Amino acid sequence: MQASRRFLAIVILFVAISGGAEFIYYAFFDQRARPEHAMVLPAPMALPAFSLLDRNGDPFTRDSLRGGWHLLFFGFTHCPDICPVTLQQLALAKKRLAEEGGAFPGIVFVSVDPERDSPDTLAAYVDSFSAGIEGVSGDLEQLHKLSKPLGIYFARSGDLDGDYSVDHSAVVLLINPAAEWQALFSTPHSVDNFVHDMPLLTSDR
Amino acid sequence: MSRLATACVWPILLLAACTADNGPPIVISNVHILAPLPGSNAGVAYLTITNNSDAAITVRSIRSPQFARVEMHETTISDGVSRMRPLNSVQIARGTSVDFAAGGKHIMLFGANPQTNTGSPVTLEIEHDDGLLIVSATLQTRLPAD
Repeated sequence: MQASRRFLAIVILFVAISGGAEFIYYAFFDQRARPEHAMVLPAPMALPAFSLLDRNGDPFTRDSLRGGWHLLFFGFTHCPDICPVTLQQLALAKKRLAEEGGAFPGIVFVSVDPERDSPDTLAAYVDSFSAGIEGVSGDLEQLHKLSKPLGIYFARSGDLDGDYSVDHSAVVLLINPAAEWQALFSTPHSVDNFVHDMPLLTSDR
Repeated sequence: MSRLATACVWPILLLAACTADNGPPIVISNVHILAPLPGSNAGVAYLTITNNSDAAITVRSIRSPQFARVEMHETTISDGVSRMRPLNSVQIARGTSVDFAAGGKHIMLFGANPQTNTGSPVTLEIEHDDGLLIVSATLQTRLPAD
């Protein structure tokens, strides 16, 4: 009995010392920079299967996201405010990192307004921010297949004389080369936040 | 009154005098008017209205000779979801400013005239309960990089 208590005391002491040492190491000695703005998922989440169309009208699926880092942003071209501002911020962050010799994930704008956003419309829209931005959309069922597991919300609102808006999540999702959701940028977005965090988030694979 | 207290009061009185008698009662600044993006039907205008008058004002409508329809809207982000709703009016208390800015209140511009292109002048006629404010700016494609 006394031996088991002594063993338990030794275990507790060991855990306390190792935990304390780890805390001291990370607090005072580990100088590696860490992402400060993105929320990194504890474990990456595999993207669901989905089938959309890209800016050329070709299929865009989960496999299209394999092999490279990507950022997904959901919105619509008639959105005058948060969508263009966010896409502009992403384009500027990409430009700034490129000037420093750094890489930036592929930017994918997912339109949640397929009624108005054809592939041609999307191509013209995303090209106005930066070359190389992908614009994808598809029918609502396929959009929901992608959006719902990622916690992305969208819904049409304010229908008036055929004009309407679309409420939508404004987060930016980071997808790793295995087509898994790895991290999340919440609003408000900024160029500086993207520039600071992106190399740190994408350097471990 | 001590010399120190007197020294503190004078600038305040001067400021008040300037605001009440000399300065314009309503000031519009930070004006950016952005053209519709390809694929979009609406441009957007951002500006700041500062009310230096001694009473609140309410902006009730905005017109533009260069656009068929102008509306005030507000984007709100709650739980990460962006929502945009029209505003019927915007009140500006005395001595305060209201920003029409990206991600908040903004002015939507629908139906550009065919001759309204990037670089051409755009006029906004801002009607409030005490008069009309007129502001002009060049139509831009983008906000300046932040």
